[in-house]
Amino acid sequence: MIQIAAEVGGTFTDLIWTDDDNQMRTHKVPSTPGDPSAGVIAGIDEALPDGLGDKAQLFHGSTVATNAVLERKGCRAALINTKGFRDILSLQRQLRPNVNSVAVIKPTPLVPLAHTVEAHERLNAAGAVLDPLDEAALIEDLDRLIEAEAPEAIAVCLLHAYLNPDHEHQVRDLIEKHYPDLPVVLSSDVLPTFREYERASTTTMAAYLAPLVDRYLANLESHTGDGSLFVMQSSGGVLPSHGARGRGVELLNSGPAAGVIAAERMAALLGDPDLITLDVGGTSADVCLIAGGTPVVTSEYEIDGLPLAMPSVDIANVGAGGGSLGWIDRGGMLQVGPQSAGARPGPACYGQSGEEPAITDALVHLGWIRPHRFLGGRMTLEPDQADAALDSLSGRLGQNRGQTAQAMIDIAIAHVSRGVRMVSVQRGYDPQGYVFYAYGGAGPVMGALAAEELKISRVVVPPHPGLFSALGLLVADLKRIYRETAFQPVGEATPDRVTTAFDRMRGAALDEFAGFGSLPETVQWEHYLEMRYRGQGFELLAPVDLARLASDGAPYVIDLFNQTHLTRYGTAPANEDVEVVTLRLVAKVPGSHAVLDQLENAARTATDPEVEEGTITYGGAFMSCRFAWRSSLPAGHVLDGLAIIEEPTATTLVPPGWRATVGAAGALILERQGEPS
Amino acid sequence: MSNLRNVDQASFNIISHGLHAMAQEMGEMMVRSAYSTIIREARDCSASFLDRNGKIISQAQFCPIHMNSFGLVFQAFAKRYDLSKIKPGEGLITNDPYSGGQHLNDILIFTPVFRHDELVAFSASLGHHIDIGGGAAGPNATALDVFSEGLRIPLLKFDIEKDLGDGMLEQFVRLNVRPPDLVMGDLNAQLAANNTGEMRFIELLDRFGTNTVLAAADELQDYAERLARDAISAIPDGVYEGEDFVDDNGFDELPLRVRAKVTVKGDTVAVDLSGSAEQTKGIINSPLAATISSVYGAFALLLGGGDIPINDGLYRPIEVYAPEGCFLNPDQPVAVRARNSACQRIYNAIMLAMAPVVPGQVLTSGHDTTNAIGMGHMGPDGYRVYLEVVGGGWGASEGADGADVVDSYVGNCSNIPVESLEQDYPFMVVDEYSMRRGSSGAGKRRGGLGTRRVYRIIEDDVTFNSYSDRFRIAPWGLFGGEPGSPTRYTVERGDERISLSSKVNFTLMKGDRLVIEIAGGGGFGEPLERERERVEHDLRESLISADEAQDLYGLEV
Repeated sequence: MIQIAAEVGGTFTDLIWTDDDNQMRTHKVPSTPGDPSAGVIAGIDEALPDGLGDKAQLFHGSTVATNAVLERKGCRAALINTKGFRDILSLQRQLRPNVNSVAVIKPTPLVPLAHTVEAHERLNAAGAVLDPLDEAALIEDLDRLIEAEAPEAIAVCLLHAYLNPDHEHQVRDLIEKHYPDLPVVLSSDVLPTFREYERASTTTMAAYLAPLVDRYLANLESHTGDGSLFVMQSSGGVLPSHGARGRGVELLNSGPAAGVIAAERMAALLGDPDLITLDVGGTSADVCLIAGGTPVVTSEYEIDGLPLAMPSVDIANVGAGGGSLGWIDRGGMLQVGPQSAGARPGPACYGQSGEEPAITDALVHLGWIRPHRFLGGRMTLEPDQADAALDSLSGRLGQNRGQTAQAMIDIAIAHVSRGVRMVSVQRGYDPQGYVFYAYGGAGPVMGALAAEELKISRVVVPPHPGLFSALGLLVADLKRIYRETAFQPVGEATPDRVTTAFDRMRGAALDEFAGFGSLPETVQWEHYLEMRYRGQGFELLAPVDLARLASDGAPYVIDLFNQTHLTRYGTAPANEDVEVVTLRLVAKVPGSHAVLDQLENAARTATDPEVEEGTITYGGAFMSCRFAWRSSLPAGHVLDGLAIIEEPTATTLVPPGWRATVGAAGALILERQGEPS
Repeated sequence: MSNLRNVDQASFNIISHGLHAMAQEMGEMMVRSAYSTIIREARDCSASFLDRNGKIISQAQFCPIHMNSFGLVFQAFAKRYDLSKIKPGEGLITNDPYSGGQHLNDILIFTPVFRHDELVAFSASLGHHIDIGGGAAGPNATALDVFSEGLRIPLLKFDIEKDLGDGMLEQFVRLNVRPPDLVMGDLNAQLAANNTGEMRFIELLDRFGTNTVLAAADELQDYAERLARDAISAIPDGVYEGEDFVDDNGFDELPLRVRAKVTVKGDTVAVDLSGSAEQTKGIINSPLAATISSVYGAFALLLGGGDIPINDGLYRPIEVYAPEGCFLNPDQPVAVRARNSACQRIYNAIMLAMAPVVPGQVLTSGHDTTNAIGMGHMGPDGYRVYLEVVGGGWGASEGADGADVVDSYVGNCSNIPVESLEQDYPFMVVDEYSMRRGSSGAGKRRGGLGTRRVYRIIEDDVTFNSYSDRFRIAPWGLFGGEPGSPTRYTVERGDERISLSSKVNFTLMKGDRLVIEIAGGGGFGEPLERERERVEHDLRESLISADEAQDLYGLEV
């Protein structure tokens, strides 16, 4: 049976697959931004001329949802909300994006006001009905809207529906009766938590994306034949495409999530429970923290200024990658990024008339990237162009080009480190003791340098770093996250109420997973409580042990929250009342690890290391450096820094004082020798 | 010009970003761990970091009006105490408007930062507290002096462990404010923010060394100064004057003049506020720190377009003078709670002065008022105090329509989710929250729409306390743009309609509907020059009516 992963990036679509012989094969085709599925289909046709076969499984990660929001190319969606609150998407949180800007431009909502209808109804803050829903008035307004605007999907977000979904259900039933083909998305389903703007934004985003993503998936399904299609979710798990129907919003951010999952699995294999992933590509770096084997999840995201309050893997994005450009701002400060040379014109050394120097140009100038090795020699680089671009900055900065190249790299490393700080120290995790997993085209060259900055002493560069995210698709769990609001001060009744609610949620999840073809005994569970001190506005997530909840009761919950608060904020005030706000259940069926085992075997076959001597500029000095061709290095091979390990999609830098070892599954393990400086 | 003196290019960039991220993280930490809606939802707070001599190294400017207080209050402390003798575990606290502070609700806390037992810096935070005692739950519109505005905390050095908890400071504060748990929770959030700043700063020092970090911080100020001087140099030399008015002082109907004489000479600017009204009865006087912040804030907008880092370097080429005894530099003990109205008029007067010279860099008047909506109610479980800043229309400019429904110049407070508000304040239900149709001043670029908010009161004896402005003097347009609609407050009680004034204490009863309608912004340029697509868009989106499209913009439908 063929298992194939297709990961659509901005420039290339990467394919990785295995067949019954368990050999891993790869293929790269240009992405097709207009309809990304076209690139995937073309790639499959090229890679597998005989077709996928009946039982094939296609695992897919796509930026289709993200691009639809960024380019405002989703469907024509409408919004129904509570009378008196029609303008909610325009009001937003009343914030100016930049307090010192004359022109204040708020983010453009996905649903225009002309597509918004008010429902005459009202619940109070306890979820009780103040005004019943006026169905007759609603259907009249809706008829008019549908006649005039022909929306393709309808979002419903009523005040306090997170406490009581009855009115939203009534609205849905009403629409289903009159317009059975029109998809309806309810806020009480998508995001049953308080804060009406964030919920309305998320719900409209879901409606805005649902028909579009459904069409996209249907199109792909028609090419997988009898095989099945699995889609990566922002939660870091996959769902069969029929289970992803109507949930296009859960595809946002799924691209970087795939790489995180690949790292999580590889780390399990290498015995690293606590790690930070550095996925550095051409334009930006994605950074995620995995603690105790589990990626940290957040519910606060923004996309193009619009809040998206769905649980997703907590990934910080910073504008630093191989294509990031160096420039001088109007105050005379050297800056790197967030502008990127992209694929066209690309860095100056591509010889496609790029004039500003990119990080890649700096690396070429310093000799860290050797032109004849770039992309395995498939592309010729022009070092003269890199130097000319660096000179254009150096003159204005009053320094030589080597200093400029080194300064650009230092600044890019600092950007990456800032991303690491965002997901670690700013969330209460101390990065010391964590391991970096560095991948993407530019991660391996930056990994050890960023590690030096953060006093981290172990860096893992997985095999095929440029294709690593696609690998994540093949090993991901089947997974869904369920949430339910359960406002309550923690007291004697809490253990029973929480246990009962989780029992009910697990029942519903089992029904859904049965639809995915999963047997009940294969489903694994994680239970979490989202809690806060009474009076606080933001909740913290804590994993809850149901057995201890049953035996130790409410004091266990209070202690659990105090500990969580202490980790996150450094304080845990005594004698504060703790409130449970939301219950969160994760249901998952573990994915297969076959492909990782196969990598392990591949690493054993290399026998004859290709290593040559050379020189590079490092820390302002010429230094001798060994260059090694990665696929020639056998398992257990050791290389001390200063060294550079080359392969077609990436370059790994081993700084002085570091040692690289070819470890399990062919991963490069970089370890600092001795104490951090 | 780009040659740096004491720090290399990469370190300069990295430390600058690091200092900025540090202050930003302090502010976010405060918001995250705060208890009151005014900080945790509305973000009415700021954070700053100073070297041991009180020079600002970095600040997170959530509210522009706060920006100038940290330095001034520090100087006041330095006069009162020998700060080189401060010990670890001690802190400095005050809220005194007459020692460089803003108004009593804004409490500043400084904590010293030590490295290897040596004092290296101060970490500082400012939080707007939901209540500080005084004559009303929320703003006391009829206060006659600063004493009736609440608890005045002197320039006080305290011991964090000993004086909080059961200690003297906490016990004093607790007994003098209506919701003591919220106020103390927010004070602890300020301390958490200060700790965060301290940790991050030490990390930077460990990595780069104290000298390099301080040199980079100096460079960053020089950098801002360079940008500011370049931008000032581009303005023709000359003396430019403008004036605008605060509606009244809440006791009589006399408008209060704010006059700005702006002298541009080479790469410097001097702003003379002489000719502004004398200090007055009521709460609308502005302490000097807030006055100076407003001048700086106006020029940050005019000069930078958002691109100049906000620090002392930006302020160096700008000189401010406000005569003692005028309501922009009052003597003790006049009341100052509603300082923001006067502060916003300083922005307005400067914009009017500069409009003929740099028309592409100015804004028309927006609602330009801190519309502080406060309510208090004594329920079975104690006092509940509500405070929210309701935004309105932003001014229009050559390049852009005014934004609909945002806070004003001096702040950037977020709204409070209605779902949160109704949980926390069970004495009300919000019947409507919308953009106020018809309030935008027409223009080639229209003013932002104001706000309409309707509260239905469901308990007896809810006190409504508020200060606002632009009730009488509508937000003006420029270059042929029309004014926006002024603000008004109305109580609907049965068939009765009660119009309230802009500075008000009023008791609401069960069944009342309180209708808040905030001003829209003035237009920029002739309405008839507005592009047809824009008029049609506004009509389609029901931002203007068909009549407005026809009568104001000449759109034939």
